[in-house]
Amino acid sequence: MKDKKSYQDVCNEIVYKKLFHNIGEQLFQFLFLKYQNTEIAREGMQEAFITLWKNCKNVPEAKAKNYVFTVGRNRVVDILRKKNKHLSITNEDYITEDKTEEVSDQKKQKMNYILSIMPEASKEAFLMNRVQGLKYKEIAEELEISVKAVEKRISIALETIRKEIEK
Amino acid sequence: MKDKNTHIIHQYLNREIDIEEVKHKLSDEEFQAWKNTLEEVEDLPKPDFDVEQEFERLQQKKTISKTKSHSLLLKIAAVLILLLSTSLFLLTHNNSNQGLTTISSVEAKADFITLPDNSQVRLNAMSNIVFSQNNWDSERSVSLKGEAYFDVEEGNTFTVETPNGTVQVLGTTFNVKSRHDNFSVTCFSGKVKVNFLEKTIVLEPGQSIDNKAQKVKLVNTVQADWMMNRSSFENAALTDVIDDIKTQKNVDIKLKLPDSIKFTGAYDHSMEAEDIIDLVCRSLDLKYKKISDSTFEIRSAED
Repeated sequence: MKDKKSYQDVCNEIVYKKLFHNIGEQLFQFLFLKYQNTEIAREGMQEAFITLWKNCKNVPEAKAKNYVFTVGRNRVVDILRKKNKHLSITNEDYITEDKTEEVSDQKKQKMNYILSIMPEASKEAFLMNRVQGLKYKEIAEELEISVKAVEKRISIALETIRKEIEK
Repeated sequence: MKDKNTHIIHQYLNREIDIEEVKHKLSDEEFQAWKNTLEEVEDLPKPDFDVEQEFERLQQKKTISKTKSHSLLLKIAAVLILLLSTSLFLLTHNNSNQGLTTISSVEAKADFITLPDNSQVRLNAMSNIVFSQNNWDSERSVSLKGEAYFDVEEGNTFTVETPNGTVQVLGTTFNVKSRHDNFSVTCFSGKVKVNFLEKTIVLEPGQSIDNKAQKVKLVNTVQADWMMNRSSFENAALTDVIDDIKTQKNVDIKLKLPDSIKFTGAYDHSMEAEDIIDLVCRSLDLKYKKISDSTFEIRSAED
């Protein structure tokens, strides 16, 4: 009956809420940049956090961030499969969304466009570094590839950005 | 992209060197070429995100996806229902004896009784609890006959003793009902340990156990029925249903029927006794006769 200790894990509502406050937006941003679609990003993010809650007993707080990112990435693939949509979602979403906004949003749109043309594997590694904040070695472990391969993927991502900006 | 330059950019992205060092290591021309790109990747677009609103949405989904999730709340809460054998008012404990306190009820009480540790108890009709004021600090223990709802402060083990079994919790809300030879416990949230028939069972939220089926089953109530002034039955023996009506409405009902009849349904405690009996009889195709204001007789329709 002594359950006090187990409340220190993610099952603790306070710990859970704090985690959401710290990384919910990051995961949302990650999925949005990856798929260029706010609805899918939201759904994936929500499902990742629900999965975290269901498994809260098995996920230490320190590992929760990478856990929700991994689950989120995988869940979106399932969601898309279910919805029978293609990964190459059109850019209409952000274009219509940001229509009324100012100059800085032209930059935003440009970046969204660049991401939409970036090879998937490169984009994933790039966002894991930039948004999730993982080091190359951690990305390599997560994707089960070599650090060299991570470097290569990110190099392609950078080249794509540089080329498009210089246009 | 030259290998050396690429390596420097990777070092930067990998947080090994800062932007000043990148500038230092690259030629001016190369740095200018990379500058915009590096600025760009430091400031990726962020879609609008209302963290509170999203969290609210998440909380709703959490509840839908897992109704049992209350067990994980900080606040421990549990509701138990015990059905126990008891001869209703036989137990009249002596107040003067060993500092024992006895509280009894004839009708369901609307108020909470406060125990020494500020835990709260609400008694249903025809129930009583006995506890020791003196020993309360060392042992939180209550004897119960009848039915009561408990809201227990966190602390050491809180025990509810009944003739047919005991219930143990740490800090929870729970309901204990004790009538006749039934024994059942329902946990609505938190965790509850039940000892009966030489068994120990820990119930999770939404689970219920009784000494007839002896199997843990799921319930979908959020609060004890009687707290909402109603009684509900699922495939319950008609005798148990009648006993409940007798208890709630303080009437006498004579049953001239075989024991095997089962009833599924619910009634509101605010209904007149006769209306409740009528409702039960209609659903089971039975007949009743009003003998006096508080005496009824139920028999099969053919008689």
